[in-house]
Amino acid sequence: MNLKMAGTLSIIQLTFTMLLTLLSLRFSGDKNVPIIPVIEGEGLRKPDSFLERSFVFIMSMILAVLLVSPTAALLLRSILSITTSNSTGELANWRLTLENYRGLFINERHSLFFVPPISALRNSILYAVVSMTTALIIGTMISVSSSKNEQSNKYLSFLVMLPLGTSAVTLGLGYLSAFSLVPNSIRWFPVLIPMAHALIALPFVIRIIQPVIDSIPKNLHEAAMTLGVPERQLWKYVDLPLIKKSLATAAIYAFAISLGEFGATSFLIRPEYPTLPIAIFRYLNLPGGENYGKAMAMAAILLVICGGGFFMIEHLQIKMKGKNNRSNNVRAEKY
Amino acid sequence: MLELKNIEKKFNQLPLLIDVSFSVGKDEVVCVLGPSGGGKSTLLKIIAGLEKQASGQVYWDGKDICQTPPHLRKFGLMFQDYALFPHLNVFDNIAFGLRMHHILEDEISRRVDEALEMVDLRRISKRSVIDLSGGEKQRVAFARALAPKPKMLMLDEPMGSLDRALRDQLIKELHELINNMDIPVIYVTHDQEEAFTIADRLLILNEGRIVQSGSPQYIYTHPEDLWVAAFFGLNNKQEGKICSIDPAVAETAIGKIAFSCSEGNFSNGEVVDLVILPTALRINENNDDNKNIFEGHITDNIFKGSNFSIRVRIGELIELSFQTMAQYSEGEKIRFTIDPDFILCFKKKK
Repeated sequence: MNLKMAGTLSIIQLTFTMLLTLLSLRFSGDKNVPIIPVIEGEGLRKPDSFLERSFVFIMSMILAVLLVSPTAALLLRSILSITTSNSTGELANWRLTLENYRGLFINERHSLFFVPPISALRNSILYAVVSMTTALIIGTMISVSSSKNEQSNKYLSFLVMLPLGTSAVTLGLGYLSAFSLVPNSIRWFPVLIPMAHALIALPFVIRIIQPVIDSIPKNLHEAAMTLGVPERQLWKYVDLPLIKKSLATAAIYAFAISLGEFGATSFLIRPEYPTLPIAIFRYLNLPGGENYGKAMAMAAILLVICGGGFFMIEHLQIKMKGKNNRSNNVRAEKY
Repeated sequence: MLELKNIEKKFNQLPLLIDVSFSVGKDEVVCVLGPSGGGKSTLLKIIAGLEKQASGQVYWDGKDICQTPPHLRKFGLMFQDYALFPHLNVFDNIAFGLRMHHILEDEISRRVDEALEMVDLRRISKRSVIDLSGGEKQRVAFARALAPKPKMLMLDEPMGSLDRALRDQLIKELHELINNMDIPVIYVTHDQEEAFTIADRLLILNEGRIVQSGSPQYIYTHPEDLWVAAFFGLNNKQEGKICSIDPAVAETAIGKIAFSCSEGNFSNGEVVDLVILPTALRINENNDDNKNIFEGHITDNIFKGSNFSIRVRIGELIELSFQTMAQYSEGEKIRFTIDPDFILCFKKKK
């Protein structure tokens, strides 16, 4: 590993990111308006004219091609067994099968580094839960402190936006360089993975939570205090119920980011504790069509879990919303 | 009950409240009236404990409550934009304060129903506050402030965001509700009509100072100075020089104006400002003294519902506004008398 060159390139990337972040902060003169509750579906309408309908159709087609087709191809390929002609390399035969999935549980070559998919899945979920929790706690704390102090808001915005522009690889490299200096630190690298994931998710978490916190009108706090809420409990009785939905959204993002993260993980992972993306990468690096199929099967599992997670949390939010009689449907707008 | 002594408050190094002192008695409805940005809302927040004053004291029943946090003061405050909790429905908004005081759910239910009954909103108790109209929100905010049975109620421009028709309707209801309560009320507004309807006593706040206090009728007919007169819309101002003390007469640009002067201590030759009330116009009335008779042309005639607002040009430059029951057409020439009892005289400030 040419750490020197990698480090230099990372510094160059970081410098550009910092400059762009500063520029973005300099020119973003947005002001939050007080939280505006809206009625479900308010502002929605069906396309009226031919032009509008055409636009909607074309956009739907583009989205279908760009989003649905790779997903469908991946799922299809995971249940497809393809044999090619040895001499020409052309497609000889294909059939639908679950062999790729079954193969994930068999260590054919008795490799020391073989990890059953359930373990990879368990590792991924464990890392995702820890990083999601970490990102939510730190993100909420930063958002709250930023909303109370304009000066700290400015500097924190700069700091937390950095991981957004810096690639995860740079972050992993940074962690590796920093902690490899500590003796015997390699055994603790798996602990650093959720930290790195949390750091990557942090800008998203903050960008989701902070506008909502900023938009909570001060007089809601004042009203609560005159109605008997002690100042230290305003968070519990006013802020938390209002940002509940944003917290759930931020949690989905943090969870999904961690689940699919590869760049930083690849630097910090230990062979015996791989995540799903690392396991996919390993299968892709192995020769043979069956390993490619296994990689597809593993990717399909990751896809289903991510999709399932999103669906579950979205479903939960709808239930929450219904329970609160639409009252949770608040929106923070920017102008 | 409530007493404020020498309250001072600064904002961005500029004085916002200057030496504000007043008291509010049991069952008394005190209305703080003044232009926007005059420090009225800040005054309420200081009383509620939501803001700290730079100096001065707030007493309740003789006890200094400056160090008492807002949640322990038990003063109800209704905000201008109502500050209803968007995540709670009507019932839960009203129950919020009761829950914070750890009242049993059965009792909460009874008291919320009582409050909803009072503001006639029982039918929408389960509705989200997001779906309410301005008037309904105002009633919910009022019920919410009252439900925990506060020791005092404060209302910060409660009609501020309502249209005129709704405001006229709600102000009557609010007046009735407030009159039926046996707690002190402080009502903040910039609207004199609201203040006149609601208040037992008015405090006129200008640039952080209480410039006058008294009953609405007294303040309207005896404004302390030109600013108070102008604030009440009394804009018929004429500068003059005292030419007679008994009877009081001043020489002005439109001629000699006689006025009733019971309190002023004027001297001959002194420069004064005369303010002619819009109700001072008299037409076709006998004037044996031959005083204050003028001629002019109607320049404007606006129908105001119960009367007409006319502008009369006297000479080339001077225009005066009056209220009249009769309708005139623009350009019409009228001969009229100005009633000396409806003229205020202020010493010219140096």
